Amino acid sequence: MIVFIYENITSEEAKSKSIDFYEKVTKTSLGKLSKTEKGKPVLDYGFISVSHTKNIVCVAISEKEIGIDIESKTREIKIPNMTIKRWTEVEAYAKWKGCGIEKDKIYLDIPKLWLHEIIALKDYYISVYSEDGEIFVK
Amino acid sequence: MSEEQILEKLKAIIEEQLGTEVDQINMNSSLSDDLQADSLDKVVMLMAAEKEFGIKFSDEVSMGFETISDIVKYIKENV
Repeated sequence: MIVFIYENITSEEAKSKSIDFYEKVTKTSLGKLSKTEKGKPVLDYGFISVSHTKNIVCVAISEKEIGIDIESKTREIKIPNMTIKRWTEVEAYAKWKGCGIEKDKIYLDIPKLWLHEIIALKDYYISVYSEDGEIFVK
Repeated sequence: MSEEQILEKLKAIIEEQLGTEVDQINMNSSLSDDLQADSLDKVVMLMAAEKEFGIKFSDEVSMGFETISDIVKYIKENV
């Protein structure tokens, strides 16, 4: 997978730039970008996930299903027994499943094997959920 | 409880949990576009609303909420 991190651009621009770069580097075509009924971005050939917070946008692209989430480490979280880091894991997993956040399941264990922490920005937690364990960050 | 009463309570919850000013919230407010609520905000808000109204929103129902009106009407029908 390639994880792209951008500052001060829109999600749409971030997706477009990421797809262009991925296709150039891998010499493959990802096909058309569209959305499911639930708003999840989908590609014809490949998988994409997007997350943004404040002025940062993260895009993850892989040959395997993928979910990504980014949150500021200083964000206040008003859910009992929940940390921001854990929340990014919950959200990345939910995006990977393509089902949205299941409020009643946020405390359930997430299978750890495919959970990855991206340590790229010191003030943010970034979690990725994917079977694809080969990670490049741009 | 009338829709107006539910709306007022919900506005108070949103102000407390999300920091959004009450005069920016109305029945037509979109959770994502107008209130800029992300997944975390929505879960926080709905958990607080469950406590306030003594009601449970299933995951399926929760994921269908797009506007304040959706939530108010659901509460009115289920309280």
